[in-house]
Amino acid sequence: MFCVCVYLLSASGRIVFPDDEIVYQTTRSLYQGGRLDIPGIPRRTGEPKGRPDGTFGWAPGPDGKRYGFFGHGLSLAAIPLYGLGELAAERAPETWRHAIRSDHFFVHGRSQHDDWTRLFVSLTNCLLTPLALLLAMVWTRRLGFSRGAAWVVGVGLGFGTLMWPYTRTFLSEPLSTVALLGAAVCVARYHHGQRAPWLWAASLIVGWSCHIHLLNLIAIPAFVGYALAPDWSRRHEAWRGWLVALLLGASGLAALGVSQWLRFGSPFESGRHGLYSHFIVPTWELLALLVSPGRSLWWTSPVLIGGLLGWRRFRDRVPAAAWFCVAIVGTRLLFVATRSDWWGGWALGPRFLVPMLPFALIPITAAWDAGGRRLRGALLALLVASIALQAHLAQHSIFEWMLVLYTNTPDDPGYLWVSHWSWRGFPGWGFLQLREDLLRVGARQLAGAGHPGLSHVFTGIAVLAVSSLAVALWPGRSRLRGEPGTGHAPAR
Amino acid sequence: MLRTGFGVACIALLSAAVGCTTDVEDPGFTATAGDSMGASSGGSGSSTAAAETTANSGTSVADASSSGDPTTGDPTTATTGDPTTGDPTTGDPTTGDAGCGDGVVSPGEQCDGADLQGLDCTSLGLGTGTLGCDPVMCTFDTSMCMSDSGGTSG
Repeated sequence: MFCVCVYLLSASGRIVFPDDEIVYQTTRSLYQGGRLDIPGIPRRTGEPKGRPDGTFGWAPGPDGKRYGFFGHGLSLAAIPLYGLGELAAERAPETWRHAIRSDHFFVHGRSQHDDWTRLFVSLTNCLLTPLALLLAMVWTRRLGFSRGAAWVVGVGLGFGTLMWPYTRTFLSEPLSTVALLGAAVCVARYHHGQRAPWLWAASLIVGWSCHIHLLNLIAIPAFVGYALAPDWSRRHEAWRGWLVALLLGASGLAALGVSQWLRFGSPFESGRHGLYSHFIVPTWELLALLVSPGRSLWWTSPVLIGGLLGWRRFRDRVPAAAWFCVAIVGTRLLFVATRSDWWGGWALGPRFLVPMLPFALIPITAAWDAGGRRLRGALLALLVASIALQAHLAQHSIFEWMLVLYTNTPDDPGYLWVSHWSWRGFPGWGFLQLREDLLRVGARQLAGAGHPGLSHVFTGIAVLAVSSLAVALWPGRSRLRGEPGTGHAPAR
Repeated sequence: MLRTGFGVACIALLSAAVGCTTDVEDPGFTATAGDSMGASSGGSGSSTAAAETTANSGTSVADASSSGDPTTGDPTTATTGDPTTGDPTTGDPTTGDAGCGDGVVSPGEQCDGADLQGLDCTSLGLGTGTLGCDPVMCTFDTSMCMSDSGGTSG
């Protein structure tokens, strides 16, 4: 509850990225008629050079309709919020929608209906991301680490990494994170009890996660290795379970093929038709994802340095999970670097590596559990510094900053180069020059203009956040539970 | 130690989230009607913008140079007063100033009705299109601007 409240307080209440708009339109089509076709964005947004205006994000199907080429998982997850947006559009005061910042780039026309449905849909990741934190904590505990280590992972992931700023978007990365973490938890449970249904659940999740984003296909080998490694010695007894798992995982891929065949005429055509990117030999691109100020996983989420510090101990303690983390992060890192438009772009930091954040962070648990007072103090300091950075990043629009760079940077070196490699382009610095892009701030301004209703809603959310935090930190809870170290027996 | 550390961290991040330190009431977005070329189609930013946003000062801003540093403002540009100072002459819109809607841009407003301070989408660096004015907040309504700047794909 605390996480949801904090994320709502840093929400922008709007859709900015053209990618998000396409996924939003798919959500709308699904809600209104169970269809997948969309109208598209009637203006120039992310089209490659030479492509006509209004052609971004979709491709024509064999039936002549336009279909978005982004995964449908997020569109499905957002349907309930779209329904709430429809209700709000009918019942909310007309003035409230004016709390949405109006002087920032829009990809849609403004109206009561269009604003409210997008506002609610844009909150989807505020609700999904806490699930990722929960799953990361459960996985940590399943691997045998302490409750304190689990809290470090949960708080670190939720507030010390880009997971927080990405709650402001309607991009699919938070849902991919939930899916991949969910599968990891299932594999860990399978290892613990050797019960095949957990393996099947993991396989089902991984297989169908490609409907959230195609890039999740890259995770399959890492998951197979993670599930199989401790199982290898008893492979002859476990083969039936593995066969079922294989079929369940393959069902997701088969459904993807059918979906693409129906939409784009071929099971192997994602709808991009090779227009948006191509394979390259990664050199500077890979280096950028590792060390550049604007794109490095570690610079943009410094708490991950704790993961590096703990990796050796993590490997010694849980080798299968440790090598799984290396495999899933490494393959994704390499693949993203080989795509011409995936390693950079207009998103905050390394967008396509966001689902890798928990896997890069979780080795911090070993450092926490084995570390002395000084190491734990250093890790906490790192955590607090990382939280401060994310709190800053989560109040502004990266799209607005990229527009500033775009309009003010000469062709040489080019705005993308500046956004990757220059400290001047680093969002943490650049955002100091921007005003906030927060629905909460708009609500307060609206209250100043004589319409306080929405501001009261945000006050309620803040009160709820404080209350839930107080409950979570209330010392009496652990005493009642009789947790180790409290000196109290469990209450019966 | 852990509980205390998390308590401090959580309170700090909640403070940050509710804006104890960084709230800026000011629309903070002032611009000039200086010459600009807008954004070039599909290019990488050789264009200029006559306006950009700034934070915390409300005294921003305009940079009409293609090599412009976004942190440097053109001294010839018009500016608005800082509404965070509470100066009654600057007309803080958050205090319930009744000026919004009177058709005249007051300090603290980006626009009012048809009065857009002579600006348009191009001068705001948002491509072509029609710039509007939000009738309730008196901030620019850029929803009809058509930036050709692009975005991510994936």
